[in-house]
Amino acid sequence: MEKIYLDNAATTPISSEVLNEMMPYLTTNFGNPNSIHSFGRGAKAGIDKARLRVAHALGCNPDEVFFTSGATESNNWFIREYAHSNSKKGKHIITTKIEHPSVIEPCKKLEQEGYKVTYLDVDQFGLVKIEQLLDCISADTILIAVMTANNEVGTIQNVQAISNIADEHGIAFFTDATQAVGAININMKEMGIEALSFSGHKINGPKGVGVLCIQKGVKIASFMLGGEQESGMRAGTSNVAGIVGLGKAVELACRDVAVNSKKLREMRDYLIRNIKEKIDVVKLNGHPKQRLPNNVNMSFGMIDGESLTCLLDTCGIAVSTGSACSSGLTSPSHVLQAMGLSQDFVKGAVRFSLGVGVTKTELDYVIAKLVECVNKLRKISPKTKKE
Amino acid sequence: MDESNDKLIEAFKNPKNVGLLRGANAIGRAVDKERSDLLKIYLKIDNKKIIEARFKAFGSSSLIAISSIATTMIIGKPIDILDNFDISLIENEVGEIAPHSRYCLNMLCEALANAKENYHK
Repeated sequence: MEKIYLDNAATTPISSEVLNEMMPYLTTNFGNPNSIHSFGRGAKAGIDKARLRVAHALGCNPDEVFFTSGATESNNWFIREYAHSNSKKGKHIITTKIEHPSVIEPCKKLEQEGYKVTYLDVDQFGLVKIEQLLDCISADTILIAVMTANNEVGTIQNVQAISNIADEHGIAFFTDATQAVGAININMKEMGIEALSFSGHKINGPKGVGVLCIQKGVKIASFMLGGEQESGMRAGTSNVAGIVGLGKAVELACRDVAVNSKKLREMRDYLIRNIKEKIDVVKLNGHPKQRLPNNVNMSFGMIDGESLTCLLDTCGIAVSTGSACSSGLTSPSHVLQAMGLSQDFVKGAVRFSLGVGVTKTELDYVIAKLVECVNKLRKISPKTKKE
Repeated sequence: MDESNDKLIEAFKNPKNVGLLRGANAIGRAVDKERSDLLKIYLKIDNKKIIEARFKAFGSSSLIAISSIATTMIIGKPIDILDNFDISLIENEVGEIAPHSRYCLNMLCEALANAKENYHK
């Protein structure tokens, strides 16, 4: 059976170029970068190069790049420690209802500690309401945290406008760019982003490694104590091969962003067009244009997205319901709910996230199987009127 | 879907007893409000025996699979089976069920009990 992977927003395979770059650091160049001998220096050189690559790709300085275990750690670190380190300035944080749980949960924890958090609404396309953002800023506001692009529906926020507002009010702006790096151009300095996070495994790099970029001058405490790694901000022996892989992955992703995005947009629109033409009672979730080039999130009326995902899996097609992090749970998507979708459309949502190698032939197979699977499940559904 | 249970996977891929049942004289319904899942069971009972059973389900793959297995299980059985139908009975038939799918067992038992209540002799 043919297997087609359309869950690239969950994770991606490591590219051969990235793997080749990593291999020496898993075998011959295995030193601890904190050791002073040649083995250690060799490993340290790999990390330094990766740091330069990240800085170059995202428009910040190398000493503003901190390697972590992934975006979840980066988000937890920044939200909690920025709030703690700046509590004398104020105790109000603004974020959105559609953030990843690794932003929302630390915010909830801060609320328990006495901080005030505003969770901004989004419109029907998943865009933050700028007027509401302006209305809720107060003298007590210390941080605005808004994701660059949503992991479920792919809507790309008006990051520049939000960053400008934060800047005008002297508030730090943090963005979780996990889905956006490699999909759109990001330059922290030019865009006025104080801090940014992302993971390696979403851009054909390895799992277990991520980045938190923090502009100089931003006051924040270290995440882990007990070592001088990452300038004393994140103790623990560095994941050398992972960091080297991430460095190469981000370099490639940002180098090829224009070419890859163009191709992905074409494939994405082909898939959307065909689904709309061939299946009735469907809805595209997220912004029609201002969306990630590889994201197709569709609701299929009268059926459950989990059932459809499982049935497509039996045809060799990997997609997901909502986000990878929440699809194991039975709770409905907080993102689709915030966008005001009806209960049935929330339940019937499926995310197809394309990889750059996807072909029209593969998508034709997906569309044909999708039609079969939707028809089959609709015959089972009591919400379908016709037999 | 619990990938380790082959019986459930097969029942989901090729569900039996799907659809409306003309002439059904016992129709049961169950709703899981938290998940918005809906299950309808249609039974044709004659001479105190379930001679036909069908279902329609809006919900997870496990709900479809378990409904298929359970309806197959009760066809040809005396109507009394509905009085004693509990989770352990279906569990014995289906095998191990993942914790997140166990709510389907409750829905099934509720729908069957409701069908018995609605039985028009």
